[in-house]
Amino acid sequence: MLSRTTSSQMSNSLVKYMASTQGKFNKLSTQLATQKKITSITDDAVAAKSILSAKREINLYNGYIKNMNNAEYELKAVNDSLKGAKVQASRALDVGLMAANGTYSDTELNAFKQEIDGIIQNLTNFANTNYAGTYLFSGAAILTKPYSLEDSPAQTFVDNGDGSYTKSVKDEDGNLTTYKMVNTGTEEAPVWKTTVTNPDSSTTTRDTEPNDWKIENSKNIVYNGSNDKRQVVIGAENLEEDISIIGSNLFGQGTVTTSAEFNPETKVMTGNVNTTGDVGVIASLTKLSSAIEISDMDAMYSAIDGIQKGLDHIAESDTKIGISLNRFDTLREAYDNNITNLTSLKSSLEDADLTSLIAEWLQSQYALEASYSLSSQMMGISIMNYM
Amino acid sequence: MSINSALTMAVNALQVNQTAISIVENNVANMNTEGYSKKRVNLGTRCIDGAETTDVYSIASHNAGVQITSISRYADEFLRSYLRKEQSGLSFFSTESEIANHIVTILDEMSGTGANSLAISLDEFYSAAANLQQNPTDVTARTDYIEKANNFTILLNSKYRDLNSYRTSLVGDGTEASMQASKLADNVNKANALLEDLAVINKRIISSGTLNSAGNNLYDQRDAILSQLASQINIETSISENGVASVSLDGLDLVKHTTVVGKLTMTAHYNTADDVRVTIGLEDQYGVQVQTDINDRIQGGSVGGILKMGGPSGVNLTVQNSVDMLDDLAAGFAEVINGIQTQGWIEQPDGTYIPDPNATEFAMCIGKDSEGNTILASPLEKIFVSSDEHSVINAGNISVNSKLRTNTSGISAALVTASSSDFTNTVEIDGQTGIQYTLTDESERTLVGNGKAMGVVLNTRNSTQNVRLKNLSPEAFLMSGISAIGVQAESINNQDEAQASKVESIETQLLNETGVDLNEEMMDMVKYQQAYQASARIFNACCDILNVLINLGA
Repeated sequence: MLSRTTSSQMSNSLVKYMASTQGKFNKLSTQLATQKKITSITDDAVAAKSILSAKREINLYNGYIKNMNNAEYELKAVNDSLKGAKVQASRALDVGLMAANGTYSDTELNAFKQEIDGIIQNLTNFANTNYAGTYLFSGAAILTKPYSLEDSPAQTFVDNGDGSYTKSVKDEDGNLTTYKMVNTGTEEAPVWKTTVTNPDSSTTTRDTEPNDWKIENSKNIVYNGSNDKRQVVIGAENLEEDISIIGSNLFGQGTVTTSAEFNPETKVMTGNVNTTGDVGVIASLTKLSSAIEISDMDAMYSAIDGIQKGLDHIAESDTKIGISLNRFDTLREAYDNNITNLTSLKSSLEDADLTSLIAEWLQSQYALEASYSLSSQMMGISIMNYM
Repeated sequence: MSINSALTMAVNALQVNQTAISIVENNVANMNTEGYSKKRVNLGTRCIDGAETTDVYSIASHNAGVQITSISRYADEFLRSYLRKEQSGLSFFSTESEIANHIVTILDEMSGTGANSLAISLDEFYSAAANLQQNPTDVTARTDYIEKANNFTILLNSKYRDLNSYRTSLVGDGTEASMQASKLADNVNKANALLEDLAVINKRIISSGTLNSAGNNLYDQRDAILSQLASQINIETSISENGVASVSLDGLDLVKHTTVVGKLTMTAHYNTADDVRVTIGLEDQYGVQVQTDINDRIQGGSVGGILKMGGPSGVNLTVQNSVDMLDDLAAGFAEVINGIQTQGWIEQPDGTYIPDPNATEFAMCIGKDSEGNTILASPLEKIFVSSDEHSVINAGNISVNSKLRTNTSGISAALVTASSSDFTNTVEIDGQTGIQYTLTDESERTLVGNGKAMGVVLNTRNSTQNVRLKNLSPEAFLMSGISAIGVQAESINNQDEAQASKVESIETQLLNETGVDLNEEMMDMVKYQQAYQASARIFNACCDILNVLINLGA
C-alpha cells in the first residue's frame, strides 16, 4: 500500500522538528550562559551525584585546611614565645656559668642576680602569653593565667652599712615585721640588741636571738593551667592534632626554699637552696637567683643543670611544633591535591567545554534557521502552484 | 434512452459532483483541524428498475447515471485505540515528570548557594563548629555556630513547606475544601464532564446517519472526546457498529451507549495512618456509590499520575517521599547534635538535666560562677527543638532553641571525662537559669578551652550511629536522598520522552492514514470540477437538442 503523507502530518512534523531544534538551542544557550553542562540533577542523575559527592568532599577538605590554618596561627604564636623563652634561658645559662666560676665580686654577683631575676620575670611573661584572648600555655584552661610566682614567706636580710643589720619578714597577708640588730657593745665584745618593729608600728627591744640572724624563704612557681590539651580535627577518621603546649611540661612548677644564716663575726651569709616539685626552667632560675644570693655553689650547679634541661624541653616543644606544622604542610598539600583532583572531576562532569559548546550552539542555531527556512519552503510547495 | 433521461442524468451528475466538490472543500477547510479525519465521496452507478442485466444496451438505457453511494471517513479504529492507550500512558508520565521536576526544583541542590542548598548550609554549620572547637569561649564563634544551625533549620522549614503545599495543590491536605481546590479535582471533574459529553455524542450518533458529512463529524467529535478522556484516565473503548462508543476503566463500565453508568467521585481522608489523602470511587447513574476505592485501578492519564506522585510514600518517587527524606534528615541531625549537646546528662520531666551515673563523658557549656570566673557548666537546653517545643521534630517544625540564640554560652562545646560523682550543683551560674552542675574540682571547672564536643560534632561529618540517617553523616544522607530523587526523576523524564516518541510515531501513522493531503484534495477537486464541467456540457447539449426539436415542431 502506498503510504500517504498528509499536509497535517507534514506540518506537525515540521513544527515538532522546529520545537525540538528550538529546545536544543535553548538548552545550549542556557549551558553557554551558565557555562555548566548540568544545571539540574535530572540532566544526568549519576553525574549529578558525582558532582554533589565531589562538592561535599571538597568542602570537607577545605574545612580541614581551614582548621589547620587557624591552628597554625596559634602554633606560630607559641613558636614565637618559645623562641623568646629560649633566648632568655640561654642567657640565664651563660650568667649562671659565670656566677658559678667563683671569680666575680659580690657586686658583680649581685648584678648577675638582678639579671636572673629579670629573666625569671620575662620567662614568666612568655609562659603567660595571651593570643587572641587565649593563654597559649594553659592547656584547656584558656582563660586562666597559667603562671604566678608566690613568695611565702618573703624574708630578706640587709647589711645597713653602719654596723647594723635588718631582717624583714612579710607574712602571707603582706604585713611587714622588721628586726634591726645593733651592736651595743664593742667590736671585741659585741652585745647585740634587736629592735622589733611590728606591723602596727609598735616597737620592742630585746637581746638578739640566734633566729634573728636566720632567714628562710620559700618561692612557689605555681602552674594554674590545665594538663588537658586542646585539639583540632584535621582529617577523617577522628584525626586530631594537639594545638596547645602544656605550660607545666615546658616551664615546670615547684617550690624553691632558701635557708641561710648570717654570721656577724665573719660577716658572711651561708646556707643552702632546695627545690621540691616538678622543677623546670623557672624554678631552676629562681634557685640560681637564690643560690647566687647566698653563694651556694652546689645549688648554682644544680640550677644550671635545671636550666639546661629547661632549654632541652623548650627545644623539644619547638620540635613538636615543627612536626605539627610539617604535618599540616603535608596534609595541606595532600588535601590541595585531592581538592584539585576533585575540582577537576567536578569540572569535567559539570562545566561545559566552551569551545565545543560554542561550536555546538552555532550549529544548533544554523539548524534552527534552516528548519525555519525549510518549513517555509516545504509548506509553500503545492500542486496549486502548477494549476 | 430518451432526451429527458439524458437531461436527468446530466442534472444528477451536476448535483453529485457539486457535493463531491463541497466534500473536498470541507476537507481542505479542516486540514489543520485537530482530530479531523478525511472524508471521501464514494460514487456508484445510479440504477433504476430493469438495470440488473447483462445486456449493455439495457444497462445504458436503464441506468440513470451516477449517484453518491456513501461518504466514508478515513479511519483506523485499531490504530486510534492503540493511540488512546499510549496517550493515556504519555499523560501519566508527563504528569509524573512535571511533578518530579518540580520536586527537584524545590530541593535545588545543584544551584550552589547557601540560601537554597541544604548541603552548603550544612557545610557552613560544620565550618562554624570547627571555628568553635578552636575558640570555645569566643562569643562570635558561638553566635556563628548557633546562627548557622538556625539558617539550616530555616532552609529545611522552607523546603518542607514548599513540598507540602505542592502536595496539597495536587491532592489536597486531606480536608474536603482543599481536595476540591486541588489539581486532582480539576482533572477528575474534567474526566466526568468528558464522560457526559461522550454520552451526548453517542445519542447524536444514533440519531444521525453516516451517509452525510454531519454524521462523520460526530465520529470525529467522539474520537476527540475519547482522546481527551484517555489523557485523564486509563480507559478501554469499544465501538459498536453504529459508531456508539462504550468506555470502561479496568473493567468497570463508565459509559454504556448513551448513559454514564460510572462517574468518578472523590473522598478526602484526613490524617490517616497510610497517608492516603484522597480515594477515587464510582457512582452509578442514580448517584449510588458502586465503588469506594479504585485508586489502584487508575494507572494512566493525568489522574493516575497525580494520584501516584501525590500519594503516600512508597518505593517510587512521590512528593511525600521527598518530605520524608527531609524529615529523616531533620530528625536524625537534631538527634545527633542534641545527643552531643547533652551527652552524659539525663533530662528530667521538668526539663532539667542531672548527670548520668553510667556516663564517663559529659558535655559542658560555659557560665560564670559567683566570683565572675568563666567555668564549665552542665547544659540546660538542647540545640534543636520543634517549633512548639513538644512535638516530634520534623523538617517542618525543626528550629533552634531560642534560649540558646539569646544566650550562646549554653552551647556545649566541651566534653569532659568524669563520673557523676565529680559534679556539684551548688555553684551559681551567672546569666543562666535552672539547676546547673559544675565540676567539684575547682581547677577542672576552668577548662573552658576544651572544645572536644565540637570535635565530636565535626566527626559526624564522617558517619553517625543514627538510624534516621542510616548511620551516614548528615551530608552523605542528604546527598544519597537527593541522588535517589534525581535518579528517579531522570528515569521518569526518560520514560516520558520515550512515551512521547512512541505517541508521536503512532500519531504520524494515524495522520498519514486519516489526515488531509492538500495535493490529493486538489487532484480530487480538479477531477470533480472537470466532471462537473462535462456534465454541464451534456446538459447544454440536451437543452440544444430539445430546442431544435421544439423548433422543428413549430
